[in-house]
Amino acid sequence: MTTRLVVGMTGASGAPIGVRLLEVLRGLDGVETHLVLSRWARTTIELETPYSAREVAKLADVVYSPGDQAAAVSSGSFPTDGMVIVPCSMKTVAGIRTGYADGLIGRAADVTLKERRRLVLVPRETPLSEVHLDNLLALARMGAVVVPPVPAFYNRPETIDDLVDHLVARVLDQLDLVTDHPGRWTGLSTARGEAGPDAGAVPS
Amino acid sequence: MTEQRTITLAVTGAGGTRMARHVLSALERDDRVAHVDLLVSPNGRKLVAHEFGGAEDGDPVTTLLGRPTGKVTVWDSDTWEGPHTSGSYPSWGMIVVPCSLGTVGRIAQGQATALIERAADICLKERRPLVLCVRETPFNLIHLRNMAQVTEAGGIVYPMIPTYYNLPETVEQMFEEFTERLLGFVGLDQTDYYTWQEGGSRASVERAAARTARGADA
Repeated sequence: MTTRLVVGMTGASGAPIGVRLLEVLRGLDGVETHLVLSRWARTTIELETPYSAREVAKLADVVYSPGDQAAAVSSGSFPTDGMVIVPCSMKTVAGIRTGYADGLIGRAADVTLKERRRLVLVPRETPLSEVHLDNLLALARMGAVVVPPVPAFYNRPETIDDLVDHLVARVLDQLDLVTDHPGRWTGLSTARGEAGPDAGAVPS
Repeated sequence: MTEQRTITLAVTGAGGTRMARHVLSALERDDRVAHVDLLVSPNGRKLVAHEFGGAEDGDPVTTLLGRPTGKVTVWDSDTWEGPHTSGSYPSWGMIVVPCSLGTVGRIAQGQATALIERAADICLKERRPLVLCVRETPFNLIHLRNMAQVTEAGGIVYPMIPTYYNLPETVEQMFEEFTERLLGFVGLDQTDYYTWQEGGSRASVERAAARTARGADA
């Protein structure tokens, strides 16, 4: 059975996370991805990753224009298993919260909520204002899953790729696509038995 | 000479105590800071020991900075020792890094069950900066409600989320950038290296040029 996912990328920082997610999804059997890149996502992809927006689009099975309100994912009649927005800007969060289905990403998220499907948001923002928290809280109340890209440190990441890989694994967990990721916590007593820590030099 | 400040830094039981090392190190170097009170919860001690090695009952300053210093005083959060139980103690502000969501919940509910929660409670009542660097994902509804509550009360919820637009090349650079931005919230402005402006920050411009040069070499 195929898992059909809508993937939105918007203009928050964190394009490497979205790109990595698409790469992993492409390598999973039985997953079909429907991608929408917002205008500013295209800009952040070019700024933050070594890829062009065109190359990133090629990672998906189906790609829609961000203004195409007539796309399949605009309608609840088109069955999907959920939607993930990564990275998710605070403007997108606000738009989804108020039902202001601006552009295809906002509309597809609106549809995901009304059809009671899984909606996973990866908001990249810090600090969070009362507006941000109020919007995220409201969406959590409606059933959306809020997965901010806060790295884990208990698995002693050495590179930025380590951080991004872990975040992608945690997002996939929320989509019931549990991967064989090595950085999972297994308890303090187990972790203590692992190789000695290398927490880096004291900054000078 | 500007007025010197006393800053409270708390470490709780969430991953990311390496960030505490960066923050403590920056505070220790900063001439604007006269003194740092380091509050460590029992689980914070466990995490420091896990992430740096060493014993849980060791001196956290030596673990974090590599050497002891008279500028930092350590207070265990499960004791009620120290001046932080009173607003009359003139702390400039408080940073909790890393901040567990249990700590956020207790602060949000006014449950001053230990020294860290009491010190945070006092920051809110005295209208001093209180910055909570939460380390958690996903956020559940209770987390979000508690974070909204603390924000309404004047606290700053500052999740430990790195940026990517400054093109970090190492995890250490992510820590450094986060620390610079964070310290501005307790009145300790840092460099403009990461400040976004027309054409990008200095960090992003330098790193993009280095990336291009590496590409040309390859």
